[in-house]
Amino acid sequence: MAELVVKAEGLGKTYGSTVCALDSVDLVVRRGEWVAVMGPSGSGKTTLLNLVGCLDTPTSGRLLVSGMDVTSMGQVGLTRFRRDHVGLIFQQFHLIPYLTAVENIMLAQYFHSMADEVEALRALQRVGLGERTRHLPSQLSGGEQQRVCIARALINQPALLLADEPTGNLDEANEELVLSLFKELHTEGHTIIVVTHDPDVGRMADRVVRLSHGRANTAGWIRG
Amino acid sequence: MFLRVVWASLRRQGFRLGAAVAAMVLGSSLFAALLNLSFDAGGKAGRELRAYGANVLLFPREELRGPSAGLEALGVAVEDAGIPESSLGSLDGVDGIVGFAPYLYSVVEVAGQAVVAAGIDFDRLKGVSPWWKIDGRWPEERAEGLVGVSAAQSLGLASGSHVWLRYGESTSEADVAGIVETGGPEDGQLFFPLPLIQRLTGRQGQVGLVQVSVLSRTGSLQAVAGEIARRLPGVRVRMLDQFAQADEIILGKIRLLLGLVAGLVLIVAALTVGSTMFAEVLYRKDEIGLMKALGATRKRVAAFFLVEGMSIGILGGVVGYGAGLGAAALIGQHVFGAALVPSSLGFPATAALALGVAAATSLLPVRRVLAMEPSVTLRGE
Amino acid sequence: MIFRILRETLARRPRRFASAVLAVTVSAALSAALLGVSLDIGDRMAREMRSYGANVLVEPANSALRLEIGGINLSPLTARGAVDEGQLVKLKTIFWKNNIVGFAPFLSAAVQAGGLSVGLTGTWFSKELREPQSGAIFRTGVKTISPWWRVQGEWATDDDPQTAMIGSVLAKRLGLKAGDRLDVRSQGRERTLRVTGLVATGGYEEQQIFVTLETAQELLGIQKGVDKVLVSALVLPDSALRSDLRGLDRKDMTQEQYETWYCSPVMGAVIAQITEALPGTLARPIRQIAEAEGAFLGKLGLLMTVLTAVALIAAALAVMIAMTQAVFERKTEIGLMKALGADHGHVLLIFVSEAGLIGLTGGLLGYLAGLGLTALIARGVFDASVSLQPVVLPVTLALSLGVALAGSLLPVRSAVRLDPVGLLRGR
Repeated sequence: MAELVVKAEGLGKTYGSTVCALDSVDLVVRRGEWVAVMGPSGSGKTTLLNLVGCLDTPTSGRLLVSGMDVTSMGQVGLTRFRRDHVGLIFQQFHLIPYLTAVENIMLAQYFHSMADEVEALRALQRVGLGERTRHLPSQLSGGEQQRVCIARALINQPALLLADEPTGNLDEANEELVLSLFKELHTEGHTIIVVTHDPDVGRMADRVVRLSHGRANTAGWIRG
Repeated sequence: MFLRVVWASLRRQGFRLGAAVAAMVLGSSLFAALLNLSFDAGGKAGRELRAYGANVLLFPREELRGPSAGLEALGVAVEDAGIPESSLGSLDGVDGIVGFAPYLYSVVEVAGQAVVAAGIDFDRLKGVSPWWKIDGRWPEERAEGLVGVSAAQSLGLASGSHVWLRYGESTSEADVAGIVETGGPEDGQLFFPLPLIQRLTGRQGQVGLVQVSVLSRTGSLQAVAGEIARRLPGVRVRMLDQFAQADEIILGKIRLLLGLVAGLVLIVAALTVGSTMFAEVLYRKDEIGLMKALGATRKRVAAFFLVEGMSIGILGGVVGYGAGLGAAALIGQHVFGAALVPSSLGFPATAALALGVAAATSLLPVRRVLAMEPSVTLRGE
Repeated sequence: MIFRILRETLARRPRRFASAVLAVTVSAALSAALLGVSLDIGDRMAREMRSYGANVLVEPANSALRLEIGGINLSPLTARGAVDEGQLVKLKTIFWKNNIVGFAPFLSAAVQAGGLSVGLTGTWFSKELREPQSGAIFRTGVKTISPWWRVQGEWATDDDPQTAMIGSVLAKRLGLKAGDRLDVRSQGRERTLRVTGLVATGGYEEQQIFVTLETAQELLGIQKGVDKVLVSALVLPDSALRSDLRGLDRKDMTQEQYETWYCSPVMGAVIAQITEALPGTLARPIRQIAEAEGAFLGKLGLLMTVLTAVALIAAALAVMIAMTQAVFERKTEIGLMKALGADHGHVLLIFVSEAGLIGLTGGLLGYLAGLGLTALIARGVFDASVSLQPVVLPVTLALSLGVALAGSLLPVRSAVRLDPVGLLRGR
C-alpha cells in the first residue's frame, strides 16, 4: 500500500460555469491517519468527500488515491477503482430496503468479486450485529443500520474509509457505539476521513481540515 | 447472488411493486381479452351471417331444347333436366358447407287453381333458412306439408286442412301441418316432402335446385364452389352475389373495427403499464445510486432492474393472459352463445407485449438515472 | 389559499402533474372513443347492411294468389292486384322518411323472345323523383336497393323506354351482347328493345329481361300498377326499443307507448307508416333479410357494449393505479404537512383539489383525443364523418373526475392517518 493514501493538489469542482463548490484545495492523508473535514454547510465538505471517494471527477487540479492518478478517470474507471480501494459510509444509511443485513453486505462483495456469506456474517459479528444478520433495515435501529454500513464499507478491505456525517442521524447512545467502532478501526490501522460538523467528532481525529467557501483554511494537527 | 437480490426484491417489495404488477396484469388481460375477442368475433361474424341463408345455388346443367327451355329459364324443373338426389351425398363431406337444401319445384293444381308446389327436405331446410316462421308446426309425417300465408288465404287452407294436388293425370294428397310466412315468394307456395312431389311429377330420385349455405374458413367462397363443382360435375354452381358481396363488405368492416379497437386498447394498455413501471423505477433512484456507489457497473444495475421488470412482466403477463382469456370466453358466450375460439397468437403476443413493455420501461429510466453521477443521486434532490 | 398551494404544486413539479394528467388523458381518450363508437355503431352498421338488399315487401292488400316462379309473376293479368307506382313518392313523407334508403316497383310476366318463353321484369333502375314536402330530388330504383348487380355494358335508363338489360345466362342462350336488338312479344303486342348491358348476380335475375316500367306496362297492356314494391329501410333491431315496448302488441299499447314506438326506427313502426302512406297495400318484412340483419346488429351492439364496459373499467383502474402511485410518492410531503400542523381535512382538501384538477384537465384533453379517434374509426371503417354524440363529453368528464378523485382519496386517507414522523423518515 502507498504511504500517501490521498494526495490532492489544487483540487477544484465547479458545477456548470458558475457554481464553484471547491476551489483549489490541497490535501494529504497518510496511511493510518484519521482526518476530520469540518466547516459550515455550503463549505464544500461533501464535494471534497465525493471527489476523494471517487464518486465524482474534479474540474481542476490533481488527485491521487492509493498512488493512482484518478483525476481524469471516466465513470467506468472510477467505479472499478472505487470498488477496490474505497469504503463509503453515509449519513442516510443507504441500505437496500428489501435485503437483509447480511445480504446488504453480500451485495458489496458481489460487486467487488464474489458474494461470501460466511465472510459477511463474520463482518457483522465484528460490528456487534451477530444476532441481527437476517433482519431487514426496517427492523434495525438507526445505530444498527449504520453499523451494517460500516461492516459493508470494510468488507472488501479498502485502502480508505470515507464517512459523511456518520452519526448525524443517531441518538447519543448509538452515536457513542458507532464512534467507538471508528476508534477501534483507527487503532487497527485503517485510514479514515470523516466529514462532520460536530466538534466532538472532530476532536477524535488525528487532524482537522477546515473548509470555508470551498477553500481549505487550516491543516492543523490536533490530537484528541 | 444476482438472483438472490432479484428474488428478495420481488418478495419483499410486494406492496410497492404491487402497483406495477397490477398494472401489468391489467394491461395484459385487457390485451389478451381484446385480441381473443377480435379474432373470435371476426370468425363468429361469418357464422352469424349465414342466417341470411343460401349463398350458393346448384342448377342442373342439361342442354336445353325447344319451348321447354323457356320454362327452365324460369327456374322450373323440366322433364329432362334434374340433379340426381343420390349425388348430393357427396356434399356432406365438403369443408365449408354449413348446410344444403334440395328443392323440386312444380306447378300443380289445387282446387282448380295453378299454384307452385315445392318438394323439400324439411330438416335440411331448417339448417339453411332459419327465418321461416311457422304458424302451426313443422311437418313430421310423410304426407304433411306447409302452406304459404298468401296461398293459404287464397285457397282457404289452414293448419289441419287436407289438400289435394293434381299434376296432369296424377294426384296426391296431404295434411297441412302449418302456415309459413317469410315475406318472400314462399308465401304464395306450398311445400311438401320431396318424395311426395317426386312421385306426383314422376321424377323420382331427382331434384331441380339445391340451395347451399357456405361458410369458408379461408374466406374464399370460390374455393368451396370449386370443390362442389368438382364433386358434382353434372351441376351448374352459381354464387349469389347478393350475399357473397355483402358478406365480404360486412366482415371486412367488422374485422377492421375490432382491429382498430384492439389496437387502441393495446396502446392504452402499453402506456398504462409503461408509465406505472417507469414511475416505479424512478422512485428507486437512491437504490440505483447506492449500487453504483458500491461499485456496480452500469450493466449490472441495468441487469437487476431488467430482470426484475421481466419477472413482473412474466408474472403479470401470464396471470393477465389467463384473466383476459377467461373474460373473453365469458363475453363470447354471452354475446354469441357459443364457445370462444382462442387465437393461437394470443399467448405469445401477450407474453411478447408484457415482456417488451416491461423491458423497455425498466431500462429507460434506469439508463437515465445511471447516467447521473452517483453523488448527485445519493443526495436526493 | 387552496389555489395558491395548487399553483405552487403545479409550478414546482410540472412534470409530475403532467404525467398524472397524461395517465388520465390516455384513459379518458380510450373511454371517449369507445363510447362514441359503440353509441354510433348500430346506426352505421345498419346502413352498411342495406347492402344485402330490400327488407320490406309491399304488395296489394287484396291480391289473389300470385303464381311466382324465379322472380317472375306468372299469374294471369286479370287476376292480379296492383300497387300504384305513382303513390310511391309518399314513402318520402312518412315519419321515418330519412330511413327509407330506396325502393323499386316490379311488374313481371312471361313473354316471347328469341323463340323462347322468358321472364320479363319492368322496374325503375335509377328513377329521378321529387320529394313532395321539400322538393328535393332523389334517385331510387334497383341500382339503389340491389348494389350487388354487376352490369357488363351500361345500365338501361328510365327515360328511354327502348333500353333494356338481359340476364347474363339468358343472354348466352339467346346469343346476345350489349348493343344488340331484341324483339319481345306479349299477347299480340310487340316491342323492339335495345340491349344496353348484361346483368350478372348469380341468382334468378340472370335468366330475365329487364325493361323500364313504362315498357313493361305497355307490353302487358295496362295503364298503371305494379305487382310489388321492394323497399330498403334502415331499421334497428327490436333491442333498440325501450324495454317495456319490446314484444308488445300494438293494441296493448297505451297512447304514450304507441307514440314512443311509432317514433322508434324499428321494423314494426316503419311498416306501419308505409302501410299508412300507401293505402290499399300491405307491407311486410322480408324475413330472410330483416331477421338476419336484426340478429346480427343485436349481437354486434351487445359486443360493443361489453367491450366498452370492459375498457372503461380497465381505464378507470389504470387511473386509480396511477393516482395511488402518485400519492404514495408524496408520503413525505404529507408527513411534512402534518408536522407543520395541517389537520386531516386540510391535507385531504389539497390532494382532492389537485386530483380534481388533474381529472378535469385529463378528462377534457382525453375527450378531445377520443373525438379524434372516433373520427378516425368512423372514416377508416365506415368511410363516413363522425357524428357527435353529446352524451360522451359529460360522461367522459364525470368518469375522469370521479376516478381521479376516488383514486386519490383512498390512498390519501390512509396516508394521512400515519404518524408524521414515520412519514418523514420514509418508513
